[in-house]
Amino acid sequence: MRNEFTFYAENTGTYFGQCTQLCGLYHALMWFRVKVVTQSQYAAWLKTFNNPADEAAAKAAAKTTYEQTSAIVPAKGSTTKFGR
Amino acid sequence: MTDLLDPPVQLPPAHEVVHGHDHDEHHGPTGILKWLTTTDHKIIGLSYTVTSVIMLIIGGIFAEIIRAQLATPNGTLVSLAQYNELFTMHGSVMIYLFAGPFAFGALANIMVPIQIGAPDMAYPRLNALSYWLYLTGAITMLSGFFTAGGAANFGWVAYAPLSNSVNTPGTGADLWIGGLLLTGFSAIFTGVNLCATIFYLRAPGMTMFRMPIFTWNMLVTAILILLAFPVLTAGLIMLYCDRHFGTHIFSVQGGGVPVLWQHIFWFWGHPEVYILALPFFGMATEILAVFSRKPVFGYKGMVFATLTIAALSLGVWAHHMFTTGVVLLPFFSIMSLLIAVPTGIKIFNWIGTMWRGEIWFSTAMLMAIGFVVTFLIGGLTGIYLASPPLDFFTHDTYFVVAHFHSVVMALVLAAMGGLYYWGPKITGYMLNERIGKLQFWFLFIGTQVFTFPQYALGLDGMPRRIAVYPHDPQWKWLNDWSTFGAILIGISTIFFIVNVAVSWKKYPAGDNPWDAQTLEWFTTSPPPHHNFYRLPPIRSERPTWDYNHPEHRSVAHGAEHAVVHENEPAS
Repeated sequence: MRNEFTFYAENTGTYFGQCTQLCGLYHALMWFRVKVVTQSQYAAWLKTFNNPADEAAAKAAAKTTYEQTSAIVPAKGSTTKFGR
Repeated sequence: MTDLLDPPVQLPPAHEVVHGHDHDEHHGPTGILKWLTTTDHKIIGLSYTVTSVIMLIIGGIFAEIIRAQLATPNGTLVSLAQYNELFTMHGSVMIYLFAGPFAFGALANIMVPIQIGAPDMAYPRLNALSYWLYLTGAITMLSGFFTAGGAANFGWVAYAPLSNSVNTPGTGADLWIGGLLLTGFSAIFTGVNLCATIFYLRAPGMTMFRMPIFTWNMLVTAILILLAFPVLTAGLIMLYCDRHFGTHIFSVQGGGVPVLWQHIFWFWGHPEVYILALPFFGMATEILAVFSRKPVFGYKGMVFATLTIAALSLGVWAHHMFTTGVVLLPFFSIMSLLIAVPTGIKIFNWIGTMWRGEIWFSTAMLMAIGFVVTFLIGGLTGIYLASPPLDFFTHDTYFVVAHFHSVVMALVLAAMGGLYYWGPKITGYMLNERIGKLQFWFLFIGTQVFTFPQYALGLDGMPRRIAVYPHDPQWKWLNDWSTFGAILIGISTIFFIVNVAVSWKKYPAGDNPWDAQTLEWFTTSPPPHHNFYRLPPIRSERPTWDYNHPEHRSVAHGAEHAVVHENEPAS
């Protein structure tokens, strides 16, 4: 199944997202973070990401614009502000 | 009570010949066999009361475990799987096995025939069948905990496609469907029974507009049951066929529509909200009037508000589905917002009933006032949720959880009020008022401490139904307060159990301990086998008050310009 949604960010920062519809056993762990960065930061990140000269990965990365998701579970003691 | 203006109406002699004056114990089985074979609405109602209060305690224990798990961000008290089972069964037990059966199985079953001066329900054997279906349904649903896969774990709403046989293969889910079918049939039979009883078994003089508000609300509830529950039954059979017989009603793969389940479920589920609420509105209305020493303010307005709520409740189901994107938002939003009008009428009528009354702050009265306050909070936040732009942000967050817990905890307050108010009539003995008031304060304050932090959590984005949450200082702080409130509510329930034990057969109640207004307080406590040896003349909606206070009699409804005749026929 393919799910997608659009996210409009007005400010840079780290955003938190979570599955809201009960989806089964690991529902509580269905979360993600979205980092919103400036264009230059994104280009710099893309460069490091692109380093291993992997064409396919670079293409896939270029498709996504500002919405890079990373499935990092916030660690204990992290002070990330959620829902903002 | 000797200087009567009207002599009491004697029941027809046929009753006396058949059942005589040999008191409640007629020549039937006694002991456990009496409980198993009875068709007496009072004994069935008492079975319902005991069973449903046990369900309240079981559901409450689930709730306490859930709150203990959420007291810390990465709680390890229960596993993720156990947590899903717990919140599913907490909701299922409280909605299907406590609130509904307690309202129309327990209190209505006992009180409605007595309030209208009837000897029993219209179909006593059907009534017994209702109870046994309910008990077997409850055992079936809870037995899921003893199966290998555990109890049902798809939430009390069982949304497709999570509830299909691939995503939830366990036996617990099937037992949940079976148990719900049984309790659903139990509710339908009780609905039929209440309608027939209220339409056909009213005493002479008890016109529709002289029925107590509780009976009116139970009539409307019964009609709603007959409209809503068959839809759920059909939906559950479809779900079972999808799971076991290879149909594809709710699965996309076979051309089915998962959202159809939500439509079917909520087409039952929203009227169900009022099926749960209306009986408790009725209880609170009776209590507020009796302990304010006044008639119900705006009696007819109250009746029409109830009818309006029932009518509107059939057209608002999709406000549970705003975020699915397939429903007409403005229509369902406006219909939902309109419900605030009759509900507001009720709130003002409750205030009007208390206004300049001679208020007696008994435990039952405190519970009823607590109900009005808590229900107002739940109702106002409901208006927020009826607005789609706000609902999109709060959907499936703790804001929703807090909203409906404000509402249902208000119903629990009214239920406790009902037990304190009618308990003496049912058992013949009063409950201890001191412990009762202690219970009220723990329950009332606990409810607010429990729900307020959840409103804040919801606005901050915490989703419902998660066993662990990210470590955020504010979320932990708020969840701790909510857990503290849940502990207070738990303590209040312990006070109730202690109160029943302490007051056991200690304080004889007498026929009319509250100097109440409606017909059930005219007979003995507990009432004899067929409820009445004699009836007072019924000239208004409070015949017992008129009989006991001839100098302050009510103006008869519908008879302001008419000459009042003795023994006028039932309409």
